[in-house]
Amino acid sequence: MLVVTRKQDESIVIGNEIEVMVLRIDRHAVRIGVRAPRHISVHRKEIFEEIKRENIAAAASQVVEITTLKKLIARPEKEDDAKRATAPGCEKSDEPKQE
Amino acid sequence: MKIQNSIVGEVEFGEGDIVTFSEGMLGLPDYKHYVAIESANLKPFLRLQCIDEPSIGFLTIDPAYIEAGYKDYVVAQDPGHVLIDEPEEIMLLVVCTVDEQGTNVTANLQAPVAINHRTMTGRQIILLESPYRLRQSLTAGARRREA
Repeated sequence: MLVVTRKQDESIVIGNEIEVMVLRIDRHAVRIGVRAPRHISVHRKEIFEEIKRENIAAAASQVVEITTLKKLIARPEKEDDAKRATAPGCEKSDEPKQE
Repeated sequence: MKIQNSIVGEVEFGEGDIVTFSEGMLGLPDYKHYVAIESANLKPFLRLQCIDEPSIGFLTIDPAYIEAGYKDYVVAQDPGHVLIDEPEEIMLLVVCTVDEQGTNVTANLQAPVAINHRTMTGRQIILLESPYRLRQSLTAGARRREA
């Protein structure tokens, strides 16, 4: 890992297109600005890692029957429909859209 | 071409159905080709099935089923990705996860999958600073994001 010392308002440049700037330094946190082209995605690492783990878990969770899942998510839908039926003029704004 | 597994059964698809994820899904960068399978059996879920490896796939759902304004939010936030340049061509899907007991199913609203129907390319987007959750429960009484 390359290690450099930077002060507030100083930056480093990565390649030709990416700039990382130190915007503010507090006692326990550093505020960083990143300027990068649109196709480069920039994320907080812990969120990135968490999403990776969630994807891997999702890809593996395929043992449950679809019918079981439908039952799990179907219940509140029916209750909602019942409520709507007694409340005329209530729009079904959260119905699934067909794409 | 055909894909077969216990979730989708046997599904026939053509070259034009294949969605290419040039970076793969997050955490699974090596798998780049998927088909989005809709069927009466799966509805309202869709199976985002990897065709490079039949054991890889995601149970997904149209986020409109969970949260009405979600697509507008994602398009407006534009997390810096080219896919959002053509919002009318984009189908958004969110990945669902089922817990080990099979009693809770959650949807990842923090990292939706955007599929461009015109270019047949896909990308998983990470929303920055969004109010949406990584694990939004879809089960009883918890379907909507709490205000």
